[in-house]
Amino acid sequence: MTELQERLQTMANETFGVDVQAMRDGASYEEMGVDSLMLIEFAIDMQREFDMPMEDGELKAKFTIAETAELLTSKGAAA
Amino acid sequence: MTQTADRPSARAVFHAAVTGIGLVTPAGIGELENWAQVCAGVSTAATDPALAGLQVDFSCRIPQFDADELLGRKIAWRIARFVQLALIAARQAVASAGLDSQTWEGDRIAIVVGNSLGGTQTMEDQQSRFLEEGAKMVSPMTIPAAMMNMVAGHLAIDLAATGPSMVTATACASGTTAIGLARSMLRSGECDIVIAGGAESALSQTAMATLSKMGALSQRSSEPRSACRPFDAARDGFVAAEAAGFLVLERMSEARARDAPIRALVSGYGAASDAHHPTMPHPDGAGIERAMRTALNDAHLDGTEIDHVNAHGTSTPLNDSTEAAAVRRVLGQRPAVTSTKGVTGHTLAAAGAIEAAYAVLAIEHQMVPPTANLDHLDPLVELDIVTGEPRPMPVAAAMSTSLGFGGHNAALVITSASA
Repeated sequence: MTELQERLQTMANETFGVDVQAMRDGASYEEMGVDSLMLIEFAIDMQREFDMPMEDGELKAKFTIAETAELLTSKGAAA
Repeated sequence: MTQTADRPSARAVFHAAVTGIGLVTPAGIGELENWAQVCAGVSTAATDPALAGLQVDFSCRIPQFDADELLGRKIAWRIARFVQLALIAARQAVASAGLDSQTWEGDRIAIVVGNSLGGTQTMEDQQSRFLEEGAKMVSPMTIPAAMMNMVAGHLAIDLAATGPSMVTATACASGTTAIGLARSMLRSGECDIVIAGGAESALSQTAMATLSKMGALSQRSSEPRSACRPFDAARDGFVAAEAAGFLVLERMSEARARDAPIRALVSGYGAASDAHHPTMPHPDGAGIERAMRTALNDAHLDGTEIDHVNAHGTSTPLNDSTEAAAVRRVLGQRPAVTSTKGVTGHTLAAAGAIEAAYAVLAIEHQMVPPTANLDHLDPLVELDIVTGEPRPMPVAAAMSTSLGFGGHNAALVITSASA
């Protein structure tokens, strides 16, 4: 697991109480019960944490933590 | 107590059974902790780091309340603090009533919660974010977290209660209004059990600055513990507080049928409006007097039959003298009067609910808690105010009074189940 994925996991767990094991197991946000409002909130947190803009809807409910890390990396975040 | 037929009430008295109590207040988390603290008569007010820099920088918070620990982060992050307090207090109430939300018939369970200011801290935090970082960074949870009605919505979710759920908003009378409405709902038969109470946590900087500017708050920042002094000649305002309190109410027949603990009865309710001024009470206390008389009539009791009053007693110069005069006119000088706000501070919309719960406990313990910080009784207050030590005494019937901004007045009569 990359350092970025670890950071995202910690953020999701500490801020929203998302289950760490489920994230490690590769569950998507929708599978973990993350609803649309929570997803927007998480995207806002990422913009602040990584200081990069994100468009509404860019973070998708079908994403896993690994796919989220890929999105951020493609936008310039360090892996 | 006598039940008279000569008063203008066409119907028989309806007693709603109080079968559960939940309290999360500055006096403690749980009814035992609350009762010990209010009987000790020691104020919970303290300097509040979150209010640093304000003229009034103290409040009554619930210092040991850890929402993440009590509710889990998954629930706690998306709800405002007044809802967090409400969830824990309501769960306590349901458990103490011997009920289980996993197995009850949810369609017959109603939720009625008093609230007045919603999630002020949430709104203020997001307003700051808006101004500093722009609209794009405002949380989508701002409105869902801060709306007043969400306290009822989240309680319904948490308790799988699919009957009617709603919020009552009569400012500082909201909790009393909620209990009065809950009793009416039981009387009408539209539900079998009501989780009724109040919740408030509005200790945010702008809210506190507003209350301070209004002249409503005590300015004793250098001595917070002695700031809330109901009925004292040197009182100068209330101390803002946060809390949630709930009663579980049921019809007597059903409570008996399931061998529920019937701890006391809500036997009367009255409400009236001042129609006088947005924030000042009617100078003659006409509204609270009518609310009290209506509640007595509803309970088929005479004023001389009330043993104890848990008064609104906010510690503001106007409220306490006006309310005291009304209590004197309606109930005379016999009842043992207290204001537990000397200990808890003023929990706004939660006040009526937690004070109704304290009245139930006073009946159960046959004990009236003292009014904290009452050193020199205001000569205008011609009442028997309990001060110093808690007073052991027979309490068969109690009244709880509430007055709110907007001129809302409400009163409950609570009686012993064993009388």
